[in-house]
This record gives sequence, structure tokens and C-alpha cells, in this order.
Amino acid sequence: MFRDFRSDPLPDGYRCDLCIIGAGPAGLTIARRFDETPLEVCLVESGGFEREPATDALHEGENVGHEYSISGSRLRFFGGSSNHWEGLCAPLNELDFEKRDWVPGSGWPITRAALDPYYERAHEILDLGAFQYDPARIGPGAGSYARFDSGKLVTRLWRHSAPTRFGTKYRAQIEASKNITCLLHANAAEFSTTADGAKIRSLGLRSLAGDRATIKAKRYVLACGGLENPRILLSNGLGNRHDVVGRYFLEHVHIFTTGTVVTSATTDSRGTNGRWWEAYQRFTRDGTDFTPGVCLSPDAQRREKLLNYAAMLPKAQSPEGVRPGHASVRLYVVAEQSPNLESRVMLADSVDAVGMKRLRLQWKLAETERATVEKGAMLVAQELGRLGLARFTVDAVMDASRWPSGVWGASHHMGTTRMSDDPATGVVDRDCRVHELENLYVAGSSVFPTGGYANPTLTIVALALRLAEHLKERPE
Amino acid sequence: MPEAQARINRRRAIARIGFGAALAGGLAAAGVWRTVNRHGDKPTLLTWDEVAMMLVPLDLLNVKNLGQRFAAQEFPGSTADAIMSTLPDVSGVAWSVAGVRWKGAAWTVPPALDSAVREEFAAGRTVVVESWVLSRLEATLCALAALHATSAGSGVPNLVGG
Repeated sequence: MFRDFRSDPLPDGYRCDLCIIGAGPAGLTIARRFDETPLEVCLVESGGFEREPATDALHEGENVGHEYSISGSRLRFFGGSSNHWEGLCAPLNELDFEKRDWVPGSGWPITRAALDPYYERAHEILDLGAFQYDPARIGPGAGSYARFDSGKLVTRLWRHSAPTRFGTKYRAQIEASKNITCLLHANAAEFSTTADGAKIRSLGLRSLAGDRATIKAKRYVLACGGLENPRILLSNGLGNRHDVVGRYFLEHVHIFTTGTVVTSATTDSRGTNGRWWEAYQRFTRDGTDFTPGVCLSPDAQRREKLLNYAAMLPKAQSPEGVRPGHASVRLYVVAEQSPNLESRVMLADSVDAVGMKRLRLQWKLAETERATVEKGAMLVAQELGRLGLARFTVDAVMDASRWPSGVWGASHHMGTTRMSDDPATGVVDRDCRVHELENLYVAGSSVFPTGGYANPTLTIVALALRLAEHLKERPE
Repeated sequence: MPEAQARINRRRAIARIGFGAALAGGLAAAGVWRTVNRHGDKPTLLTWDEVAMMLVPLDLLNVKNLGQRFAAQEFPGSTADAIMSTLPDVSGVAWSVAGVRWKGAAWTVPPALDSAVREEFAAGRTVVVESWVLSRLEATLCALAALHATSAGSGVPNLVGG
């Protein structure tokens, strides 16, 4: 059921079994797993059913790092950012989970195999079809893809969700639920802890109209996204004994590397398929859209000590100076960012309309990312040259003095409450529980220790399913 | 028909078929030879311009500009002979002052040269010229195309000393 905190306030000291803060993909996924159970669930949402400027203004902040739009693509209403996401999905690769000695701070406490069953179920939630990403099995034909040296490059696939709008798709279920109460227009403001500081005792809520109430839950899940999760923890001084909360802010490093030039004839005089790049355009199979990309192989990452890297190949206009009969394909690069202590979310001095300190973001990029983008482009250029498929320009990444000019993020906020078995290097443990608190959990991409190149929503939903299972299997 | 007359007719028929076949074969062979080898019994000559453009998909002006840049960064002050002397041996291909000679078609890059370029890409023997990633060999061929243009007075600035 839904309640509007402004017009239908909760009784102070309202009690429930599970309080989930944030009704985006992570929060809604967890809440739905408790539907029709004996547990009383309160789902706290800052907004209503539509975008509201005054509510949006709550997540405005200061940017003191690389150019970044803090509020540009975030949505603060029922369904969260899924209300406008594009739907591109891919799982993280096996190597993304491993501790890589050339990537300080890398290594998840769980493996890709441990997440696979949840990826599979997340596919249903996100309307992605079968959990199958093997380009040899799906696509315009395995023979159509470039035959890269697998020690250097591999072709991988992204699936496109419809895209699933959580707020639309799952609203009726929440409306009909007897044990889930979704409290709209309620902002999580202040947590109070038990005297020993080991447990959350209650959560104070505030509305923009000045309403206040307190929720007392047995367990709490923070599911407000990679910027708000650390902001709420920092505001309340929670989980930060080792000064890790908000640090290691990760994004996906996006940059256009200018044109691949290819022959546009079906075959050239050497029998080379000049239209090889068409296999890398978006296509539909069995009702699902796919986009292939060219990625650094695990061997290349190990050998060259690089981060993960992927490139899509959208067709572009023919650049000046290219002979007629040739086409240009741009390299749309998405690279991993290395964990960086100084790339972080902090609190600003100013406060928002409900009295919470605004966030201050310092996105910092390192030479490792530049080297990965440069080397990745060179490997693509060399492999396309080896195969006789194209010649290539790499100007956007060769000039180190300009880095990170031209780089942008995609509102993939990750890493700020990272997962680690060691409380000194992570905010949450492998079960997504805040190390220092017995009954506070975090859901969403803020728990990713590293982010690979894959768009995060699929992994967010998979981890939310895993957390829901953990909470169900281990009742308080 | 008398047996002798029949023998003569048969002989003529065979001779005519043989002549026709020989003629057809000869014409075909001549056609193929002309097509393959525009210089008669000499190897085909691909000018530096032609071979560079077969490898790099840019227009001639840009190919020469790339060549000029590469020559300036790799071979400052060098002559065409000196640059040519850096070219690796490629089976079936002869480097000459005018260009590349080989016994094959004039419209395609010699397969051995194509392979040599691909091998350079595979081995990472590449150079970045004006942001283009080229194999060292093909960049050198572009440089020779640029120098050829200079010699021919095409208006492309002199690379020597650049």
C-alpha cells in the first residue's frame, strides 16, 4: 500500500520488521521479495509518483572535482533512476571480481559465480530474456564478428532492457501488498543508535512541509544510490570508523576516440569483409535488443596491467579526407576507473530544505585510466590493422596533458560504501551489512569495490536479490 | 566418300579445331597477361602513391601529408634512397626509385606486402602519425609517396629537414 507522509503521517514510533530507504531498482527489488510474507516492510521514498522540482533540489550538491553533473540524471521519485534509464545491461566479468595486483583496491569478497544465480533472476525483473551473453550463440552470426586475437580483444554483448520502469511495472504490486507500506514524500534524515552504537534504534523522517516522524525497525536497508547512501551515512556519522565512507567514488570513464575508417564495399580486393562493423551495430534477437562491443581480453588486462575496457562502434559521418567508398565508425569507449582514495563524496557546509548537509563531490581520475584508454585504442587499431579491416585514429587520448579533458561520466555512481571483508578497506561486508552496525545494510552500486565497464543496473538488481535472500534466511 | 578424301577432311577438321583452340587459348592468355602485366614482360610497377593509397584509406593529399609528417619525425634530412634503404625485404617485391615492382596485378597491393603490414600490426610495430595508427612499413611508404610528390613538384612542401 502507499501512504503519503505529508497527508497521512505515520504514528510516531511506527514499528516494522524491515525499513528500506529508497524505492529505486534496488529498494523495490528487496521490498518485493518480502511481499506476502509475515514481515512488515516500510519502504521510504523521498518523492511521489512524478518528478517534483522541490524534491529534486534535495540532491543538489557542490562539485569540486572533474566536471560532473551531480543532479543531472538522478530521479527522486517512486522507481528512482529507472524512470529514465536507457536499459543497457551486461554482467561484470569474472576478472572484475578478482584481486588484481596491478589495480590497488581491487577484489570483491564474492565471485562472479556466486552472483550468477542472481544475475539470472535479475534478468526476469529487467525483462532481459535469457541470461546468455555468448556472442557465438547470439547475433548476426559468429562469423560476422572480427576474428580478434583472443589474447588481446574479445567481442562481448550488452542486452537492452525494454527499459523496465520499476515505478510503472511494480507500482500495482506495492499498491496491493498487505505487508509493504510505501511511504511517499518522506526523507530519511537522522538515525539514532543504541547506547553501545552497535545497532540502529530508529530512523527520523522529515517531509518538505516540515512533518516529522520516527520509524523503529528491526533492520534497515539504505538503497538511495551511490551519492545519497554515503551522504546519509556521513551525515549521521555511521559506519565511518576507518574513514572509508564516501571515498573511492567510481564512475565509468566515457570518451569518444575518433574514427575507425573502413571499406564500405562488401569485400575488397583482398577478400576482406569491408562491412564487418555492421555486425557491431544494435540488433534484435528473440525480442531482445543487443549491442556488441569490442573489449580487452582478460589476458591483455593482465599482461599490459590495464583496467577493463570496452568500445562500441556507432557509425559516424565520413571524416574529411577519407576516400569515397569508405565509411567512418567512431569508437565509443567505456573504461573502468581504478579505486581512488581521493575520488570521493564529502559533506558540504550548506544544507538542503530538510536540514541535511548537501554533498560535495570530488571525482578524480588517474593516469591508470588514461593509459587504459590509450592502450585499449592502440590494441583495437593494431588488431583492425592486422585483420586488414581498418585504419584508425587515436588523437583524443594521446595527449596526456589534456587528460581527462573530454571524459564524462554516465551517472553510474559506484564505490562509495564499498564491499570488503576488512572494515579498514570497506564500509559493508560481503553480505552488504555495514561493518560497525548489526542491523544496517546497504544496497546499490555504492557497494561495488570496482565497476568494470558494465552498466551497473543488472548488478545492482542481482545484489539486491542476494541481499533480500540473506535477510530472509537470517531473520533478526 | 573415298577413304582418302575422308582422311583429308578429318585432318582439316582436327587442324581447324586445333587452330581455334590455340587461337582462343592464345587470345585468352594474352588478355590475362595484358591485364596482369601492363608492362609486357616486365614486373608491374606500383608507384609510391598507388601503394600507399592501397594501404591507407585516405585521399592522396592526406596520404602525402601523413608521409611528410612521418618523414619529418623519423627521417629528418634524409633522402629518398636513405628512406628506401630502411624498407624491409618483402618476398616477391622489389623496391625501386619509382615505386614497388612485383609480378602481379596493378590494382591490388602485393599479398606479401599486405602480409608484412599485417604482421607489423600484430607485433605492435606501429607508429602514430597525425593521430593515425599505421604500421611502420606503410608509414614509410607514405613518406616515399610524399617525397615523390616533392620531386614531381606537386606543391606538397619539401620534407627534407622538416
